[in-house]
Amino acid sequence: MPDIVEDLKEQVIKALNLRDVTPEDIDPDAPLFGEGLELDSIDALEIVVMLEKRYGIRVEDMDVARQAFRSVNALAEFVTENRESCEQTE
Amino acid sequence: MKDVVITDCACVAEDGFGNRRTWQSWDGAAPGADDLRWSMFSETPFDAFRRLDALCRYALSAVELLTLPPPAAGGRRPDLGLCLGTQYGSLDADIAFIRTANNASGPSPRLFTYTLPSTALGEIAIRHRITGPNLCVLCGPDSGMAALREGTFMVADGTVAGCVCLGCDAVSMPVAGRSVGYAYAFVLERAPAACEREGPLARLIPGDAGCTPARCVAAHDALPALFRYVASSARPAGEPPCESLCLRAAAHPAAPCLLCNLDAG
Amino acid sequence: MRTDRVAITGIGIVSAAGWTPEELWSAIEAERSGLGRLTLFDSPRCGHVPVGQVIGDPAARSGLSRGSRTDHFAVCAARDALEDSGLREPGPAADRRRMGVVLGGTTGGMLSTEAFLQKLLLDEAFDAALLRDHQCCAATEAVAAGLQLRGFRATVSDACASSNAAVAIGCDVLRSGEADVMLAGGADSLTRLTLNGFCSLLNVSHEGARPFDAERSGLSLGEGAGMLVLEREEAAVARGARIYGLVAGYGSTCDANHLTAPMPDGSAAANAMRRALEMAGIAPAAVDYVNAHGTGTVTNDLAEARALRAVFGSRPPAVSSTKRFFGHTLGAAGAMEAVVCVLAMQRQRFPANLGFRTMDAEVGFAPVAHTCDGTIRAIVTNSFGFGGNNCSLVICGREA
Repeated sequence: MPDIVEDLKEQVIKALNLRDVTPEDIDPDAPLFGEGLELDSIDALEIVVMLEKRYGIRVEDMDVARQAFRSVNALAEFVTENRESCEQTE
Repeated sequence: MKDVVITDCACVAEDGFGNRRTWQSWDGAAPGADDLRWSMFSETPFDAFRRLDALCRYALSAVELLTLPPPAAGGRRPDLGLCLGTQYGSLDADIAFIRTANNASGPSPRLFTYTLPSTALGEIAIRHRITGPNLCVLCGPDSGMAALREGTFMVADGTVAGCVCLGCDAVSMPVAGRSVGYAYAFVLERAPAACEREGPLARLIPGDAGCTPARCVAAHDALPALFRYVASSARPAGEPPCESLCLRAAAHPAAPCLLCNLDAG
Repeated sequence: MRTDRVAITGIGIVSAAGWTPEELWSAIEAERSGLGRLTLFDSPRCGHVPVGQVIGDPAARSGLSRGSRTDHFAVCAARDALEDSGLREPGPAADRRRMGVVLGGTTGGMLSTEAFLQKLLLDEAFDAALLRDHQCCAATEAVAAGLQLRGFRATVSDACASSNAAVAIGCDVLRSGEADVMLAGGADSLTRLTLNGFCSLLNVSHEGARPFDAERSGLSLGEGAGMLVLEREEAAVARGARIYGLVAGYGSTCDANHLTAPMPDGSAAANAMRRALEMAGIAPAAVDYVNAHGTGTVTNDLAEARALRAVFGSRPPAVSSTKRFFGHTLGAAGAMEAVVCVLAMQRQRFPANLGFRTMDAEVGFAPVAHTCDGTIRAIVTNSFGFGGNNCSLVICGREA
């Protein structure tokens, strides 16, 4: 889990072009959207693209995304669960 | 038809930046789009600035330098229009997007929004809460002029009390033999209201005012010429102030000028 | 200025549901969707989403020796519209410098740009000539040159509200006396860019757009062109032209809220409709039909429904989105739907909201389920675009 959290921080910074943000700046429990990093729904879609590219996880329902993208920790949990299910089906 | 006056202007261009009072030449070479810093234009923080594409960066910078008519109750500006004229539009973003769509990373939704030049208007509208009509026109080298023309009509016929008109381009590819980056912005308002607030700077008269084409400034130079005309600080030393300025479309050299700017206020 | 009334004297259309107004109207009567399989290019990332691809060879039909797919669509629809108005050969006395063109578009010659990019990526060669067709003003230039319209010329790129804004500008140019005839419309072709882009926003439907339906799942992209020939009513009457109706009003506002999502309460969209009706001098209660933007996305249709209820009350007039007939054609959508409105008024028939099955309680009303008879004197037609841009037109009969 900690590895995924760190990796996700880096991926989020890269995908969202957060030029002045370092991984240390991101509190893994803080909300990703609305406050804090001031991300919006287009950033959420960028994360969808990133998840598919990095982890092979497809998200097609934004209601699922809204739940999963609450914070970096929530995102890590989502990645762990879905990656496992991907591996099982393969 | 109501009287239309220019109440402020601003530019971020190769020779310098600022509004009609603060214009100054760059300290050294003009910065490229990536080197524009929000702190050059504003004291209000705007973290998202560095994530905008180049067209938005130029456009938002120039508008930030303007003094806009005060908002209505609720902080919105329903009586203000917004017109952008751009020759190359979203060319850079189009190509960057096609690249992302073709490589392994997949299409970027953020980049997709920038493949519409009107996104720059959306960003400006959101920042300054401009809820009046907005319009983005592409007319080759006449684009900036076309925006000025549409804005003048919008104000003259009473659709809105004021309009922000922009000519803006940002292209990193050598479209005109080299890269291009500039934004010129003008605030147009109806005469009585604007005069109460601050003296009008120049009156715009749409249509043929009987001038001879030889005296008109062609469109590709029109916005810089109009800016220098209104912001005397931007005039090169030794250049005498002109009493009037006529602007015509480059694509129609034989046509009468589209905007005559007859009064120096 | 604004006292002259503007008449519609010619129409032209190119769409997945037909190459002429008559073909399109038979599809509307038969409730036959033009959505189908994409064969224009591969779209590995988007799967098999249905699109409104125009069938046939646009280049052969336009007769242009060069130009993009968009240019071909634009020239075909423009030629038909001028022909329809009787101004294709306006006579030796006509001053072609008094005939202008204003078009809306978003992607222009993007398909040609992809060739440019390939060259740039492969051998890093910058060939500016390949970019000639890229800008959306290329279609305007092609129409102006091909049909010898030598007067006012402009191109609007206001996302999906582009061609409604173009019609509004066309009217302004006539009212200010800068031109006597204005061809106003829009054209856009399907491109990899728009398909990939909308797919990345997760709002393309896998089963085809079903506007206002409770189970709607997104939009379907389309392509084509729509054109109107506009003249001052007095001049049109004087030359004995057939007058379809008037463009009586237009209104435009901006949400100033979000770049891609509509403002949930629809308040700015409602204000665009109110501005248009006010200009037309028509009360909301006198509106007989609304051709909705109705893309089929969950958020657009809900916001638009709220806007309609705000303007018209809890029982709005007959409403339909005709997007399932030829897809969402972006910069061409407003003009193509204006042509649908003209046909609806001419035939006194409400066009079906194809794809609608189940009422959405949140939407709060059912659109026109099947093409049917109706009394149509005044119409509002909406186009909303990214950037929060809303543009509404009022089209009405001469006696409305």
